[in-house]
Amino acid sequence: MTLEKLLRPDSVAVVGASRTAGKVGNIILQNLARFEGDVYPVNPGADDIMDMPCHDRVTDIGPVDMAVVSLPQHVANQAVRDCVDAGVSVVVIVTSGYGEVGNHEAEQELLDIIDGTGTRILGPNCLGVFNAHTGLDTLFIPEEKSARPPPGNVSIVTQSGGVGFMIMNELGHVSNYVSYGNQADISELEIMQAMADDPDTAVIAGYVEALKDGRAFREAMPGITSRTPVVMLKAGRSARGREAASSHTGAMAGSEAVYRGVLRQTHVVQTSTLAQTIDAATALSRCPSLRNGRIAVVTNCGGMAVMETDLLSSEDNGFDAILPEPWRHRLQLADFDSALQDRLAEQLPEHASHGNPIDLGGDADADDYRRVLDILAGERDIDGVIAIGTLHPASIDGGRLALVFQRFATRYDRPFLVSLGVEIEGRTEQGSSEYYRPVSRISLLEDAIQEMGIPVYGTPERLANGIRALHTYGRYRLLDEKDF
Amino acid sequence: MHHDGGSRPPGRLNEYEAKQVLRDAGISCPRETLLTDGEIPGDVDYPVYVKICSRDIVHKSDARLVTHASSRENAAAAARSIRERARRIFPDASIQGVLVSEDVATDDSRELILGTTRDRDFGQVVSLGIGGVSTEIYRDVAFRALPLNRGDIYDMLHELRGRAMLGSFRGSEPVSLAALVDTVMMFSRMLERHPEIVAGDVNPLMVDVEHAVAADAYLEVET
Repeated sequence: MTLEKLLRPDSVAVVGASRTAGKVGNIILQNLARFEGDVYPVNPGADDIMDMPCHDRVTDIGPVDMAVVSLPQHVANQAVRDCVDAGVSVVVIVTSGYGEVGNHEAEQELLDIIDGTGTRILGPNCLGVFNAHTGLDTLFIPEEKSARPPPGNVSIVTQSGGVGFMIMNELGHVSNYVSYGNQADISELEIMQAMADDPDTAVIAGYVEALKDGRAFREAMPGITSRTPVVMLKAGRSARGREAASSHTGAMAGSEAVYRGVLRQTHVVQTSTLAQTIDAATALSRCPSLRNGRIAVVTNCGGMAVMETDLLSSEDNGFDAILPEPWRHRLQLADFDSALQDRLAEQLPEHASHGNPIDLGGDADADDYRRVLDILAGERDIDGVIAIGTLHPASIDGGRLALVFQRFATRYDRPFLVSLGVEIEGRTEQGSSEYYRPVSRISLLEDAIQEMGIPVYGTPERLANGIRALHTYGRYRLLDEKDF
Repeated sequence: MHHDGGSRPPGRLNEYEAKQVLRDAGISCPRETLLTDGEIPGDVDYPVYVKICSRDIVHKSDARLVTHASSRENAAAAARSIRERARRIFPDASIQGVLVSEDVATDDSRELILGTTRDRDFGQVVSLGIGGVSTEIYRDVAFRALPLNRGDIYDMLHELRGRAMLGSFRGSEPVSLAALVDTVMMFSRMLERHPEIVAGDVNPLMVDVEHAVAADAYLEVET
């Protein structure tokens, strides 16, 4: 059956709703205040909570799409029975104490309860669902501890609620967030299928320790990745990591090398760090993928361009050249022919370098960037453009540069990525609810450029993470077009 | 796989039997003779490898039960001494004979390892990696779940860190990509037809500018 109601329920019941501040059943109810659908507190011991009439049981409400169960484990399963009787589509069980601690009987009982019914279970032992577009929020993390990000086009599917939450916050925007915990019933695969069908999802970012059903994943995943890029952080790669993963979610994490192969085979962009995951999702959600690997770099800081060049350059190994087309596409700096170099020379200051990377020099201004980007926009032998530099020289006006980037991004139909470098001073703003975020002139400008839909990275390394993901997914797209 | 009626199929096929299965799948193997007793036939091309052939002896090289021989006379002597050595150090092993297998290595040969295993998450998987003496040090192996297409095999090769050795390398021309990919494809189809094969290796798979040949192999089947 469809999991439409997982991402887009019209109504939510909170089973175990509480008046007591700090209790899970209270936090969830508070967080649902912004939900655009109907919210029903369920607690037989209260008449009303937060000015909402309270129901004794879920069966007293009438039709309801989703129920969040935030009761202690020993009474949670009975509440799930009520949800089945009430015809609830999706029951989100945030309660822990199931398979992850060896209580497999209680988890099996959940499956027996929903067997043959129209009710599905997310969890147990999960944070549940957040949808930034509708305000659906079953996460028991208080808003004052962590403000929710604004709506975006990346959906996050995560075995670990906490790791997924970090990815969401670092991304700075989200469409759907789904933490699935023990996946007793609903699997990570079904969640990704629902996300791929979701019009608000352009990219899926996943954190996975162990797949629920590897064979089903291998079979169904190509149908997802051919429509929607999927970035996946597969953790539990070391032997000790696998042990930790097993005690974390009660599932065994499989062999690293086999996972790596199957993820490539199913066209998933695999990452191994949080930063890579965030950087890849950022690039894929804002740029088309690379059709080939020839990149132009323009800079007013030669050193950063040198570092970026190092990161993007892979040597010709003498073998890839005999592989078919898509595997021959190395990420590399594009070769500029003499005609292009001449045109650049006409537009650039005398001391600037006309080769690739194009070094405008430390006294360049926003107009120098504009003139170069105007030329690069028409170059069909260049597959993507990186602007990397520093805002510190007096000659650079950040606001004007942002507008130059915006104008270029609007007319350029290939990847365009930006790094402005990082500013170390003035990172924190005391007393802000967003105390963890670096706040500086550069970060404000970064935010403005991100708003324009251009991926912006603090460092050359992180930009390289982004462009590698565009290159990998670009190869997958080309392979999808071929018939092997 | 076909076994004689009534007899229980062996869990592990010996090299000779494994290569028959590979040949049935279309994979090239060296010309070879299983000596159960008696003389080496006259039409063998030298040099050859002389190896013990037993379902019970897994690491025959490590046990020094493989010898390289450049003439019929040397091969016959090697066959006698290998048989004696095997009986001495593996007194309980059932021995099916001594295999005389033509050495297929050329100046351009490169060693790969092609294998299969049953993965807990994904079922039957194919592995392809850089072979030779450093295989276990670098563990440069790519895995894919069945079924494979040719694109998967190109991508496995692209995944190998040491793939440069398959290109122009030390004065050799690149290996025959077609022969290599065809062989992996035939191996993969063989596994699809024989889900009872739970593990196995072609090691080495000798690849040169023209051919890919399974120089040694073992297969394990479910009993």
